[in-house]
Amino acid sequence: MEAVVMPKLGLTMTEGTVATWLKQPGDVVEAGEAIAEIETDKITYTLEAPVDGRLVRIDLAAGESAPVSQPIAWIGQPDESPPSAAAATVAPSAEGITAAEAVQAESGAGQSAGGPLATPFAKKTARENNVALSEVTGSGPNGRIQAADVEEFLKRLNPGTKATPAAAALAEEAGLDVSTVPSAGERVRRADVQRALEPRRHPEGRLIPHSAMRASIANRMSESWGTIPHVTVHRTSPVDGLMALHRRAKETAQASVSLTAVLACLVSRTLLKYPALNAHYESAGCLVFDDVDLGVAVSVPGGLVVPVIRDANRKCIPELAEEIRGLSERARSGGLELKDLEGGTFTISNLGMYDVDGFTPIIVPPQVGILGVGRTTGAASESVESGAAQQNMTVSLSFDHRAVDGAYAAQFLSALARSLADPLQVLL
Amino acid sequence: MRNITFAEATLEAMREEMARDARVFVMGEDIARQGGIFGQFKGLPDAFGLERVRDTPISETAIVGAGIGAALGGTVPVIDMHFADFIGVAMDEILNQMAKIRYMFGGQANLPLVLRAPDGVTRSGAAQHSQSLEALFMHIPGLKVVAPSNPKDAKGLLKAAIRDPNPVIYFEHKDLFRQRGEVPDGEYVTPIGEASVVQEGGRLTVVSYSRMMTQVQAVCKQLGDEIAGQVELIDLRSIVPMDTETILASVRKTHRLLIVHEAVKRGGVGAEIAAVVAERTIEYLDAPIVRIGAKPFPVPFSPALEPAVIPQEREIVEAIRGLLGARI
Repeated sequence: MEAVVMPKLGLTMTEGTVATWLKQPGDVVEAGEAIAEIETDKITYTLEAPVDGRLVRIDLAAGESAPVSQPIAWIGQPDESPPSAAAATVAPSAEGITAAEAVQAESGAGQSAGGPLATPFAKKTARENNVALSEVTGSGPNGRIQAADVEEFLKRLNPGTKATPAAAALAEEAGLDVSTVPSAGERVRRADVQRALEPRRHPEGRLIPHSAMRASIANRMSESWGTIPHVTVHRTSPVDGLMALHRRAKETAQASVSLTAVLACLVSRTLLKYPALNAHYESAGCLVFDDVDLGVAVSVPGGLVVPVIRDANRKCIPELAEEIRGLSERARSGGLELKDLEGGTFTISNLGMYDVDGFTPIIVPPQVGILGVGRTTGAASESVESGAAQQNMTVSLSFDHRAVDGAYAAQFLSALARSLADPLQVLL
Repeated sequence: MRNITFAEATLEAMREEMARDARVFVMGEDIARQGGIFGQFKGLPDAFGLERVRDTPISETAIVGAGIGAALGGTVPVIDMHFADFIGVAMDEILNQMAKIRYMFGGQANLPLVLRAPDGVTRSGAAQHSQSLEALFMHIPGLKVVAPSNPKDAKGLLKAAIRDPNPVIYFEHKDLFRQRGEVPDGEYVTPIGEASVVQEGGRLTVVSYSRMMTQVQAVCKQLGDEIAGQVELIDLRSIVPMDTETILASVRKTHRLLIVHEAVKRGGVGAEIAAVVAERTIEYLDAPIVRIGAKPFPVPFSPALEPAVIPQEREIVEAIRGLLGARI
């Protein structure tokens, strides 16, 4: 009569559940034949008959659980009778083990009930280190545990932590096991222990739900980046003319005029000569516009909006400055309406005020181009006519390569560069 | 140091001992006239005369019996069995007289007798000329048994056997007689009962002796870097008394034991070593003890079948790799 026991399928498994019995009492089974499906919290496992014979009795109904190594069924000859269910279901206790069983367990001969197969030296090593052999995975033939397996187990358990004396002292003072302290280097340092003592307030991080604006930005940027083949061309060029014009505009307007307004003026006028960039890309063709509805990227708390200046190419610098200021203020106060944001044909994004040298802006679909503006470097010169260019700026044009090509984009940048150096170029 | 053959080394031992002690004489079949079938007695009659280098009738009983009597009478006989296989003829003389006399007469007389027994497989020596019988004599109390593996130990152990006041069976492998090796200049004796740690290593103890020792060394050389520093090689040299302390100390260090001998594995010297290790230091074993020995069949004459019975280098390679790789 052979007991079929609940198998131990993993180091941490303590009990298992019979999902289904594939054989019923009275069925003839062969060693190795599937007799039940066993479930743990991790896996499903097919339990095989340990011996040939007849399934005499099932002690654990399908759906019920039992601790590992407890008999759950009996296989024997038809004339044999299994032990009483009560006796069989009592888990073996240390007190109940006879001397003979103890000897068998010690020798490792009884593999199913007497502990794992292990060499004498592995047992000695385990005993001396207070290691339970049932915790150790054997690498020898038939899973036999060898001393090296015990040593490997110990090494994983306690990987010989090295700590600086200061770290060790601090850890001891705080009652912290220094071997548990994560360390950046080979040795645990005092700072590592301090970090361990002050746990992060949100170890798993904090979730900040997307605002409507963030979700919208995410959608548009994903759409743009995922569908538009971006190419960005950069050009660093002298901007003394631009800066002089900016100074004169401020004097004339009697009001603050942003550099963006001056750029909007020059860019919108230059775009008239490069209509393929003042366009929308559509599947049937490129929708080209005669006037420039210029989007201006405006940073607002928690995101970014791109209000549109209608007919920028027809507006003078003070007008553009006034409109940009108004749109920006409304953007920051949340007063923009949908019509303020729709219908842009090209966009400018200026990060020069943050001293960015250059960047690769992402196109606002369905537009074809976007201009990124970097900072101005160098000292201001007194006059354009002196001819000594002193100040430079990097402008970066990202364009939709489906709509236009690199040479066209480069020519636009070249024309823009000329007008930045000498704004009168826009009239030529 | 000189590079000489195993046979020459034993001949040097004979010459030196016969010159040193006038009581030493040698007798056996075809020794004086032929110089021994392996040349191991060549030239002794010229140096010491036919009184001390005696040919005998073809009667092992007579040779051993006469040797025992001569030893009791005050001489130091070295007697030769020609082939160890013939020793059976004189078995009563050996197990009931040679091994027992000193004990039965309360030590009134010593028995300084050396029984030389060329053993082992040559090529197609067949069943009656190929045996290694040391285990039989290991089992009989009252006999010392040695089995050198190289010219240096052959000389040193033969000199020690001649000087020993007790009967010593000196097994010399027929296939080793032509083997060359370094032999020290000048006087030296290899003590009976001391094994030699030929090579130190940390993970596997290999115990061998006689011709198989040379096979094991060849395998270790062949495996080279693969087993560098891992194999500790012990040449047993003396079967009785056995240097078990050296073996035990080594196993306690390496935790694995392989025993290789040409004699039949069943009931062989390896079984004794394995038993001693299991009795005295089992808790240090990290793998099963592995024995390599001849299969339990009469050694075939057939050149094709002989290697199937006698241990081959391939088996040794597999055992060493298996033990070091945790596959055994």
